[in-house]
Amino acid sequence: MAEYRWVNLGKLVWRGIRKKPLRSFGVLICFTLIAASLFSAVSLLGGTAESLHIGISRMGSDLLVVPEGDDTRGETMILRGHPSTFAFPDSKLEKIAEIDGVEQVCPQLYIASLQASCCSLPVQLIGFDPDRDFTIIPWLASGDRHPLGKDEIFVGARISGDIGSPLMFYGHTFTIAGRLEPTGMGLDTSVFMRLEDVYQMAEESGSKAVQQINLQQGQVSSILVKVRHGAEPNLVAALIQAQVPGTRVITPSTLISRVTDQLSDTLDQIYLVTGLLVLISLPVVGIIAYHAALERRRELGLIIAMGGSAIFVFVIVIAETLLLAAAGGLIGIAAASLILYSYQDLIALSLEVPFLWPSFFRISVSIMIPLLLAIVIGVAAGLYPALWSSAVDPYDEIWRENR
Amino acid sequence: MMVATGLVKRFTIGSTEVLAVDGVDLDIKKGDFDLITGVEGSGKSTLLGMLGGLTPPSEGNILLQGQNIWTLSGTRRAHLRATEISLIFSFSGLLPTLTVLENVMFPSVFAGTMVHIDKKAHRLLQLVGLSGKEDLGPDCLSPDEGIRASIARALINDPSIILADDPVRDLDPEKVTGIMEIFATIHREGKTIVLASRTTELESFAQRVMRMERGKLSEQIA
Repeated sequence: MAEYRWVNLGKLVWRGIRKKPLRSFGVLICFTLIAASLFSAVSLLGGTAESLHIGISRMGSDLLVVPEGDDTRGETMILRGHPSTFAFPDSKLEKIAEIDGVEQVCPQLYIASLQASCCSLPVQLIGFDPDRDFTIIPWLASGDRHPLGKDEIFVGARISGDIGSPLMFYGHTFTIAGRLEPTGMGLDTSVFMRLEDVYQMAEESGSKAVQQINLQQGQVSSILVKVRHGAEPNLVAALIQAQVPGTRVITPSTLISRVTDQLSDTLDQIYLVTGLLVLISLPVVGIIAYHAALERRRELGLIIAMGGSAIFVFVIVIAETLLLAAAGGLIGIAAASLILYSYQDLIALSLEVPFLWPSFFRISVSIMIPLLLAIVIGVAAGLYPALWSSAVDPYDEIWRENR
Repeated sequence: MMVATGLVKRFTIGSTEVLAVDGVDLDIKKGDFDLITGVEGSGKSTLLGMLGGLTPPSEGNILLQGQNIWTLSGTRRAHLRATEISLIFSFSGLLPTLTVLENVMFPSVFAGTMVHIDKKAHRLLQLVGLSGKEDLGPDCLSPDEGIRASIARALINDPSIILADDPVRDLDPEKVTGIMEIFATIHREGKTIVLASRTTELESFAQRVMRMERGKLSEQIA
């Protein structure tokens, strides 16, 4: 059967793009860079927001009380997983529990690990009281939920090791009993164990480990607080700081504003680069499109002579820019997402912010914004050349060279 | 079929007004083969440009099958150019990004007659002697082959009238006969043709010969 041959506007536009590969490549690159930089910014923001949202909701507590002066270390530990060791007497636990608006309290103890077989870097060991806990157990990945036994541990999503396999910290061997769902925050690189096991590990560390843990029974690092329904968390936080001296309260809003501060410089820089790219690209692409239309004016005149309307000519010219804008936008988004996905840990680490690959909704938004911007710039840049082309006098253009 | 009355075309070049066409009346009947001769600058191309709906007359009317083509909207006039009037120039005017076959098929996009148009394009290329050159680019064609392809393209939408502006101007004398024989063939098949040329040697192909001089048209006996 003979091959059916066809020709249409799309083919004409596509061939026009292919005929001048260097020019088309230049335009494509402009849109690729714009889309890539904007996608990076939006995705970074989305991934961080996603991580914070999941992390804070998984923490399950409204407030985190830490020793005064250790609030920054506490925040950094939660957000980025920088292992820290700090503590204060657990006598504050009962005082906090009595404050108006507090519904539930739960102590945690933070110890920075030495090098461990699970991990390339030291990890955060977190001791908690399973009887009082309202944060860790609900956070377990499905199927792993069971009470934590002696020398059993739950591990964060990024700690390697199968359930049932052993892990040694400070010479003490633990067994992995469950894995927590990922948050993108520092908690993903933490190991959770019973408070009494932490105390025992600390006691034995002098003889079993190369470094001893200086910890006394009855010390805790933080107190997680759940506020009563209807109570204002910020007000309860203020009451705790006023009534329990030597404490600092970390609230979800503190964490969010810290991350926002951390990100703002980077985002400002990315937005600046994107803005500059747009400012440069708009006239450059416009001039390229105008020059291309100028070069093809006789061809456009001939198309009008063959029956093409002004609208058809307008569409030919604008469609080339639009197609390059859309293609450049998609390439930019694909390249940026590949880089962002492959190096998300490194990027989050160097920016010191939590990051979780954005959800389908957030990633859709991250794709749509730069793609729409590329298309809008494509239309804006191609508008004048297209209008100019649609108004060419076919008679003038066809016979110009013959005069 | 096409009646032009009192056609005048003035151009302004700088501060000078040029009268390119000066009161031309023309009655083209269905099935005519009219030849308009005249030297360079006599107004032939401008006259064909006006008849073809490409440049508006300064004065006068052009009726195609009773319809004044210059009172139509731009879109309707474009449709008319696609379906009723075909223009052929002294150069091939093939679009450089399309193959010969695609160029021939291209005007069908505007007429909305794209179904099986490739078969028709093949037939027309055969008619003009370009079989086997369908997939070549316009750059690969010789000047006379380019004109042949543009004749095939002009026929793709079955127009009522073909306006050819000196299509043999840049061709070697031995190629001219071949092109004119194609015009004669399509005329025999019932097409109406108005051909403008600088040379008077084509008179034998036409039924009616007119001379254009300084924008004025005078009829001669063929």
